[in-house]
Amino acid sequence: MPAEELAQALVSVGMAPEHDYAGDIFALAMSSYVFRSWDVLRTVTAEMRALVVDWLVQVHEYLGLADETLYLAVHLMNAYMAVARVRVPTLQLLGLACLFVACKVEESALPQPAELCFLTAGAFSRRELLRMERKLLGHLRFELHYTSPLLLLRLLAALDRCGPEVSQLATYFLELSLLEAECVGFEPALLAAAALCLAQRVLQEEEGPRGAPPAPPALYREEEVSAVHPALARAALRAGTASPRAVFRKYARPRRLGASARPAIARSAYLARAAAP
Amino acid sequence: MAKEVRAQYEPVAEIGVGAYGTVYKARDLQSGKFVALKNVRVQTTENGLPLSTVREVALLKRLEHFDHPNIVRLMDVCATARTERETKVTLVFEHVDQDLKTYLDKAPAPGLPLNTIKDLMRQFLRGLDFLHSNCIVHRDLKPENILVTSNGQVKLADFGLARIYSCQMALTPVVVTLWYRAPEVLLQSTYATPVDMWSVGCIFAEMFRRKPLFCGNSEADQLGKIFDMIGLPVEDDWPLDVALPRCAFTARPPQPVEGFVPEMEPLGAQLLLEMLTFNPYKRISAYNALQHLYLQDRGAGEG
Repeated sequence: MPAEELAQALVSVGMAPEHDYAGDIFALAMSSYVFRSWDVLRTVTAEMRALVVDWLVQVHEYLGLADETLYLAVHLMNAYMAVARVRVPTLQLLGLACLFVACKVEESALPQPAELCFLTAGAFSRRELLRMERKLLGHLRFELHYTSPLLLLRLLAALDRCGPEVSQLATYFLELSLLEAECVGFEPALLAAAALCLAQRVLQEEEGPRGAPPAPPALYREEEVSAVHPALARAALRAGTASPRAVFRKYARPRRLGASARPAIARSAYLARAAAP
Repeated sequence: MAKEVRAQYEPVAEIGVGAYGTVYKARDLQSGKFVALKNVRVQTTENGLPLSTVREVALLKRLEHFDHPNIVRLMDVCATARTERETKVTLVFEHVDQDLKTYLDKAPAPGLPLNTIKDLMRQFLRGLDFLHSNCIVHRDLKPENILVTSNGQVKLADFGLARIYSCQMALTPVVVTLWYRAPEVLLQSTYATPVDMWSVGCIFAEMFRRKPLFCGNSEADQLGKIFDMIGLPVEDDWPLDVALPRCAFTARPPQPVEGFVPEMEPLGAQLLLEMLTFNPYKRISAYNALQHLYLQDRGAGEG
């Protein structure tokens, strides 16, 4: 990718001062954090995991936290589940501790532990939350660094000169991927590229004109991107109709341009094909 | 976790006791290698482990991935709750037997060859440039925490976590050396990465002198010794927010470097003065110091 173009993209995502480090930032955005789904799902099912992530999406939105915080929290949860056993009754507590630690890394104002515990309807106490925090930091050996796929998504969208509708829909697809256990096996950068490409294809179908389908973003081949599409397509087609629905509701709001509620999703032949078993 | 640490590392000797805890030399029973175990006590609040600790340890862990040759390796980190109010963070570093102080003490009579000094300085500055580009201020650079391996590789140690224990430092009667402190630190003004460059200057001079450059016994005495060499700074450079006024010091002119470091040639003296610049905003950065002509002429002239 030409350095010039990349630097331009950085300017458009508000990272102009990092101009000189464009290459480094890109390399960082590409670095991979991949788990095997069977490592993450040793003691809980994919559905239980999805329920907790969905609940985290609600808490995260309610507290008005930064988008990166949510991605980091889910990453920490996957990382913990890959190295330690988590019992089903404490899965929600783990999710909460992950969000709490993610806030310590990303946020300028920290939510109060008591407030977080209140959001569990009193299922867990402050002491339990703090104990889980220590267990989390211990098992992860303070390995808390993560480059969320959002950064790459914004970069790729800027490089492709995508409009807000495509960006919003791609962000919706990407956030849905947090709930999918099978997506923990894809590197975040690939997820971002696949979400963007999927959004472009769905919206192109909506507009109607025939033409070549949008190519996958630079850096990835068609096979790589389309390997991710079945999981994203199934998640997108299911999101509005079945529980959990927090991500769907969040992206149906006007400030998200009603991305999740677009009729194009249900009508898309591409999505239907990709989701077919 | 505590049991795990004790089971994996066997303490061999105490290296030092600080205000913040104890440092041990220990043997890693799995690899047989020596490590330095550093225990840092942090206060646990109702918000759990302090945000600063979480961020700093995470940053140190992240730096590890860059595998910088001039930074001491952090091999492991564990946090153990001691009481409701206190958590012990154990940092496991690679152990290097020799620091720059010992290295200088051991150097034979005429002192270190010029080429060696330049090589050490380049490595030292590369390590520091790496820390500074990651927004880490070392704050306590001195020959004791600059390690030199048996192959002559420089490794910076004891950085970053300074912030965790600095608040406790004032409460305990541990003597902290003032000799490498920048004027803005001595004056208790605000400070950032330039404080490290001041220390680099002091240590650069010490590599030639084989004894410290400014040995003050109080903040004011230390400043006086500094001004004996660089002269009393102009009024405009004196920070506004400090208790000690400029008029507390007698006016004196700057002295030539050769009076303090006779072995240093003019180009080196020029670099030294750029490091020992009173105003932190005008002081040279690690990055620019590495570009300085003095550090460019690899081996030229000295064979």
